[in-house]
Amino acid sequence: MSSLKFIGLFILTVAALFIGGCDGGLELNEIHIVHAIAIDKGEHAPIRLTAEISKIVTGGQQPKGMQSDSFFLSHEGENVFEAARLMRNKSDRMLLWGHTSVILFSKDVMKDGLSQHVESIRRLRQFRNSTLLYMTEGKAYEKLQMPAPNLMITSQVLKGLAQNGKANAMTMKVTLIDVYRDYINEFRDIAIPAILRVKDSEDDKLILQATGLFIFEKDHLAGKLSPGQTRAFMRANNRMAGSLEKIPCGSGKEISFENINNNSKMHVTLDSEQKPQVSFNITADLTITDLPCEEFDITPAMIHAWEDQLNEKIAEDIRKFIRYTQKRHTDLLGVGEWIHRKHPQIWRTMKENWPEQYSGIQPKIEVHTRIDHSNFIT
Amino acid sequence: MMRQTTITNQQMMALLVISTVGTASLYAPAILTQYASRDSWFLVLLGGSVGILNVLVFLQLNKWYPGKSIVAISRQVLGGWFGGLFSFLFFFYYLDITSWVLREYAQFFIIALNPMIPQNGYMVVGVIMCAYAVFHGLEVIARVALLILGISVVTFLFIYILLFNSYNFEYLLPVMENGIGSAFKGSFVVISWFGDMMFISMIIQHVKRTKKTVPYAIAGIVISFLLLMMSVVGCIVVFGGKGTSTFTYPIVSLIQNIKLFGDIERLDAILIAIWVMSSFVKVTVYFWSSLQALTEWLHINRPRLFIPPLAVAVVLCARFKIWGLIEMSSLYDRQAWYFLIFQFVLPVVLLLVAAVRQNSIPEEKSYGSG
Amino acid sequence: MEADEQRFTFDMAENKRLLSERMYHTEDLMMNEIEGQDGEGQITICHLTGLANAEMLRQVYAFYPDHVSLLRTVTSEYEIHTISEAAKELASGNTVLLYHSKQYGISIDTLSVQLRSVEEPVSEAAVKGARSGFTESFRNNLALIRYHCPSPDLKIEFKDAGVVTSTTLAVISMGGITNPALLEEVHRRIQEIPVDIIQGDNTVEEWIVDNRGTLLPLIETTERPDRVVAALLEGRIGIIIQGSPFALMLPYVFLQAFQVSEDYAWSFYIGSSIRFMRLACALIGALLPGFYVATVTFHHELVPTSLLQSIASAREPVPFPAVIESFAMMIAFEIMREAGVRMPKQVGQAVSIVGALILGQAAVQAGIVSPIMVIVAALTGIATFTLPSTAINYVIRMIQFGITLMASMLGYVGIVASVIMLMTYLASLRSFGVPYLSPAAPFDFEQLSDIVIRRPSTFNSKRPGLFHPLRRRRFREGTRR
Repeated sequence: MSSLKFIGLFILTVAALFIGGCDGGLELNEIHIVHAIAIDKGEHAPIRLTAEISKIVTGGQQPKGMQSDSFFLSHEGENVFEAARLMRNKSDRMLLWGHTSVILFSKDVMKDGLSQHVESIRRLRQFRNSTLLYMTEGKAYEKLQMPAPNLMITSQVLKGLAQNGKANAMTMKVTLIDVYRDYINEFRDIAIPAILRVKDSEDDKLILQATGLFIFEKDHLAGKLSPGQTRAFMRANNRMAGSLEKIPCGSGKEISFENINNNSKMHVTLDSEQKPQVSFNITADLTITDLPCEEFDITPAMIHAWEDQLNEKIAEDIRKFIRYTQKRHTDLLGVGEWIHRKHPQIWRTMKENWPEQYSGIQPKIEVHTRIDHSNFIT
Repeated sequence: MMRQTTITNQQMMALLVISTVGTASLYAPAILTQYASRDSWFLVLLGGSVGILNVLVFLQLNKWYPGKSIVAISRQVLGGWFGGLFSFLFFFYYLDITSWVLREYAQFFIIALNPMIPQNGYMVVGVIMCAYAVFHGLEVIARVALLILGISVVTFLFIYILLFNSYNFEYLLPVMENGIGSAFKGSFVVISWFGDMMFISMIIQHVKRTKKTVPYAIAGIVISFLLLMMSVVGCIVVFGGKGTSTFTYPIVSLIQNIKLFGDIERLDAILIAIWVMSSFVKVTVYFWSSLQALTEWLHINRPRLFIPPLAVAVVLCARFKIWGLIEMSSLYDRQAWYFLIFQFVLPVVLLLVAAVRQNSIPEEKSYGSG
Repeated sequence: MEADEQRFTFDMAENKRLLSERMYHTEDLMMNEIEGQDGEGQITICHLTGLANAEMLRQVYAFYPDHVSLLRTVTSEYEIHTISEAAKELASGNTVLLYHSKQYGISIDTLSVQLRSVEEPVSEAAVKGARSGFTESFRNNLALIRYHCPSPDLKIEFKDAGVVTSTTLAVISMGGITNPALLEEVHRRIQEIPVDIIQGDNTVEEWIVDNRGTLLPLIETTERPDRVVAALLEGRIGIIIQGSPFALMLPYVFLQAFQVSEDYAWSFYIGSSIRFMRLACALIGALLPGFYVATVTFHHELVPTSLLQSIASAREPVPFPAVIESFAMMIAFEIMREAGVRMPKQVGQAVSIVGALILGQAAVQAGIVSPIMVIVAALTGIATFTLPSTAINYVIRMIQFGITLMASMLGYVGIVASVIMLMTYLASLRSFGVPYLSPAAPFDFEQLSDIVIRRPSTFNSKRPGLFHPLRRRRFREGTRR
């Protein structure tokens, strides 16, 4: 009796599973892994989607991992979803979008507005939160199809480039979820790192480089930050880890400092006329990396002098950056949201003409640098 | 002669916690933030306090009528006709909740896994595993529930600790921007989640009563409250209030933010395990309650025979009661009063009637003796 | 049946005839008559050739007339009254003396069978700790237990089971520790065994467990006397069955399957970490193939991109779905394991070479399985061998097939669903009233910490309460922790 029940239960389960069908699963032999996509304006349709797909190399004892070769498919469509679905027609296998690590937008396509793309990509549940976003002038698919110097998959190159932000603060790691969160909550305006195609100085090969940021005013593309402005932005926004600063020391030569530590605090206050006042308090540690100048005895007084020079220069950089964003009405630092959090009642009225209010702000910038050690040769 | 089934206080607590928030904490942040944005923690606070009140109602009923389930109590308090009606209503409600939760369980996979998956297969597997547990009885369910509580609490804590770096507590500011009144709008929904512990009225008679039973029941609600609070606040401080409200299952997205050792992402598969386990406990305990209610209502001798037909009924009901996720969530939002009637209003009515009777009986006695 | 109850008559010839008839005229039955002294008349000495000890027989024959009283004092001996009793005594190797004109006989224990001597237990090898194992000798096994636990509290009760064989079982308990209710229950269940022939320990096990037809062992078996003694001291009961080199220990809870007596031979850090590792191995053994199949067919996103790339290129030439591939490897592993057990030791080398080379290397090169699958199958197989309980080891390997099947159809949902069903099943089992999953479910932190980690002995001031011992205190009165 008991065993009969068990058998019955088992048959029921198996039958249910077979009726329900074992759909949904995909063998690895039936899929192509998409590593990066580029989104351009199409010739016949609003969107042209290009996907970088890794070639599966069989044979050989060692697995090749990410060193394998890649190929490209592209298709046009009304939106990203349609283009992706139609691309399946050209592919011999199902495309697996879940491993896409980089999305590269062309500047043209972004001119139509940021939100539609971000939202349509978020709606496709396959994409990861950590997918990196990039923008580029010209054709995005061309950049994607450029051969990488070490024959890696381009997505790996772009992923690696994002790490540079930690070393030289000229680019920034921006992920899909960052953009989505800041945009939907209206925390701050969006900046997306730019990808350039440059000539490598040694041979005439073209390679990819990530410097500068594209900035948006809400939905609209507003401008582009230069590498220097990017650095100032990251310093002010407390996202800087390492960077390079230089000050002149006469005779056209410059002392180089390596920034090893940076801490920035932004304070927003409202003055008596309910006008916002923004002040920055920045502390930074630097070390001397190169000292090509004539005089060579480093005294505490001299260090102090350099520190003052650096303070001045960094403050000026940040001031320039803020002036640029004010011109473009782009609140990259989230000053508005800061006021919203601290003074919600005042923000309600201020929100209406925030871009003008923002343009009028005169930031107070206080920089305290400390030159840590002179990095003498051991 | 069946052995007396008893479960311990801890096991009762486990059942309470998992049934109230085991599944709710996955989608709660999204629904609550739609009402109150970044102030949703207030709703959770509100729901938790009403939840404690609610559980006290059932505990009081049990105190007056020890060893009796709500079905038996309503019989005794309201007499044959009304009692029978109440018994039927409770039975119906338990069965209804079973199918709701089963549908919820299957719906999750469409979002979290793949929209193309066959929903029926998942539902059938789910109901088979629940029916199997119901077949083994409450003791077994309670034991498994305690294990599952351990697993899911550890997993949730693990998730929240791993995410610690991405918390921005300033996203909770400003507090109560639009005044405290606007935050009350979603209170029905959150109270109905905490009200999901109403099956306690069927199991409390099997709990091995000690002095600590009441504290344990309240602790169950408090733990549920803390878990729900953690999930709501966790989502808000990572995605912001508005951002959270745009997701279907914010915790799924939350866990996707975790990056282990640089390259392991998309740990949302772990949540599938938690989801299946929690849904299992919830469906099972409601299934058991409905079976028990049916047994007591109609005085059935061999209740196990009713498991297969009830299981089939639950699957069919779950399959055809709504057409999709949007209808389901809007029903939960707007028709929350439906759940509240059974979770709160009917028991309170019962309690009041019982109170009147209770007062009258001792009075007569004292009158007689004095 | 009535013939069995036939009592001895006064007529010696009739007695002999009846006895011979009862044993179906077996030809190894020896019946020799000698003259008794002091007017005892004729005495018939009956025994089965081969079973009785020749030396003792010689003594009986040679010295009987003079030394019968002496003999009576040195060997166990008791009176028998019926033919069938006499036949039973003979069958178990005793010598029966039939007296002329008396209605009873005397049975003298003269059993001697050549059995193997005490060896190291095969199924439970240990690096450190006692090395003696049980043998087929019933008496020797009892002696081993007595030797490992020289306590007057040790109580042995004999019970016969099996209508035809009437195999003797020894129920061993500790007076003052073992719960009498438990002991009574064991006796009751042994009493109720209706089977005619007891083939070994498993027959007894199957008849006395709570849930008949259970998937998992509800009674622990061991070859090690020291383990039986340790179990007795926890308030459990040991059963030794005549002719079986395994002792039964009960009640048994699932988590004890991960305990080895050797844990207590090492420092508690080592003991605990090894025990944890065994738990992890059980999980690997049950879940890993299912997890792999579910991951590569349903949850591609979870795998790091570069690893997925490697797996994909390794799997590229394999024409089968992952589930078929994994079933093939798991079955191949089972075949090799079974062959390894059945095969003479001399050819063992060949199987390992063929197994590793053909099934590993060549199958990959031929594109039948992917290298990752070979790793998964091998790891799974080896992981299950770490479990001390062979029965649970086999069960886990059975479960892994089911879980893999579910995983291939529903992905992780399938795995979790089957794990839940398994948990429900385990939670529904009981071993002599003790819930099988306790102390995890029902939860008891104190007991769980004792069973999952191997606590330092100085901390164990109480014996586990799981088996309801009469006395929980372990230390001398007044000992500080």
